[in-house]
Amino acid sequence: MISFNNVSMRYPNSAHLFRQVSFSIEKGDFVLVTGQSGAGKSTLLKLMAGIEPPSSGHILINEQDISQLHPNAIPYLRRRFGLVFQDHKLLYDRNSFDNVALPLSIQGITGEDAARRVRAALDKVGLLNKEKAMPITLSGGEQQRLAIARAVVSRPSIVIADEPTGGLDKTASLEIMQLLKAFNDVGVTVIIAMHDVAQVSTIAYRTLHIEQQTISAMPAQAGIL
Amino acid sequence: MKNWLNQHILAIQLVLQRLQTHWLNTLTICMVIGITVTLPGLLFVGLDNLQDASRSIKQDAQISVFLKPALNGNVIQRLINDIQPLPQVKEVRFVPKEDAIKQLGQQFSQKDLLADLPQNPLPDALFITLADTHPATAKPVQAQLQSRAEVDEVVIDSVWIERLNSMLLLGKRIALIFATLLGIAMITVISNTVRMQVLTHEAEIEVSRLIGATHSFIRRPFLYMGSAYGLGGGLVAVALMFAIVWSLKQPVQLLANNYQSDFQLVFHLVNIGGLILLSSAMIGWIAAFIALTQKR
Repeated sequence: MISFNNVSMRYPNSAHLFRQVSFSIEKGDFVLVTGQSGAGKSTLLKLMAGIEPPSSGHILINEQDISQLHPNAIPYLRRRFGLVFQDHKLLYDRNSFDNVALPLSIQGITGEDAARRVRAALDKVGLLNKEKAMPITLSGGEQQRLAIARAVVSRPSIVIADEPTGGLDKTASLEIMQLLKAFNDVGVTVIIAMHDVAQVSTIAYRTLHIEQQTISAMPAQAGIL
Repeated sequence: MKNWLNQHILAIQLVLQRLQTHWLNTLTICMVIGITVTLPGLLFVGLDNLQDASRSIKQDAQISVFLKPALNGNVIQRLINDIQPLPQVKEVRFVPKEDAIKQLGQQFSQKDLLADLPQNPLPDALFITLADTHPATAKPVQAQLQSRAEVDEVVIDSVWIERLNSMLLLGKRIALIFATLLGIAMITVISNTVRMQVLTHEAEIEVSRLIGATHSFIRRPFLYMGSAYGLGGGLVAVALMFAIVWSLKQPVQLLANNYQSDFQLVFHLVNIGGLILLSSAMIGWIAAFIALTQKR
């Protein structure tokens, strides 16, 4: 599904984050990207979503080399992903409903069809009763759940979450991870960048560990919900 | 196709919502643009009216041929017979000096003054209507007539119209320069406003980009916003111009009546109004486009 072939990445005037890394992620995987702060976890996710181009190498999404894509095609690539950010990136001048509806608007889906899908997504994350609420009135955990609803509303096959539990307490963190696991259980590939693996000790997962410019892929861990 | 249409509808709805939310700001910008457009617009309306007036006068343009005194009827008739077949000539009308003084008496309020004159000072005259009033046609006829011994003076009545047309052309050029300068000012105003809007919605733009919005999707509301400001300003301008022309209509008509003219001040709402609305909306779009291009 996602394949990195000899991918290197460095930002201008800085050292390599990774050199010549190769790995693949299969459909339905639940993958944790781990590593120390600054190791390049977020960058790895950005490479997967086509937000950053690699310095060299090839990234294939469903057999399609994204470095060969025309810049105009990149937005359409990003629509295949549901993105969840550590800082939520919610729009604070719009209510919960409108925040979740944004990806659908981008795809030109409006009206009843959009409303039905937005409510289904809000229902999935337990915020159906807060569709009119402004994000600022929601707790940190609720805001992250709202961000997850926005990520899944367009039914992506891959959800990429960057530190989704950052700044949340243990209970809220566990809720978020359980939610992401629930999407994974219905076939969605979930990729999460995380520095504190202890929060997911109860979930079965594969790990991509970034250390010293290399990425080591580890098989699924045994912890089960 | 449906999704594409939906995106345009969404963008328009979003723009209308933003304009409504910041209605005072919207009104202020539209007023500024409206007044900016009104100034050259009024100049164009004035020139347009003068042009109409000159066109109606032009149809009656003719050459006046004043004959030497004491010519007998046969000489005059021979002259008319010589002029009539000329290809440039459409019609020849002879006005004896007796008729001329009568006509003058009808138009002149101080009839006693005319009665006190010892003799009729007016000459016999021929009024020649040309097939074409262009100076290139009139000049050779004038030269030909002037060379005749029976003719005292030849006056081309359309000369002043040509002068007026030249002045109108100059006026239009000045109005165009004026409109261009104010158009640039309008682009600056709208461009800055749209740039501010882009800054205000930077978070939304960033999120939209990350979750798959195309350039077109992001730019569309701002382009519509620019057009909406232009269109709003254009509407204000048309309303202002309509009101100004309406308020001047009666005084202008009274003035024209004093000069025995049926001239009326007219504002061509469909032509000029439509042109103003269209060009304002276009300028707004261009201004937004410039703002977005600079932003990229």
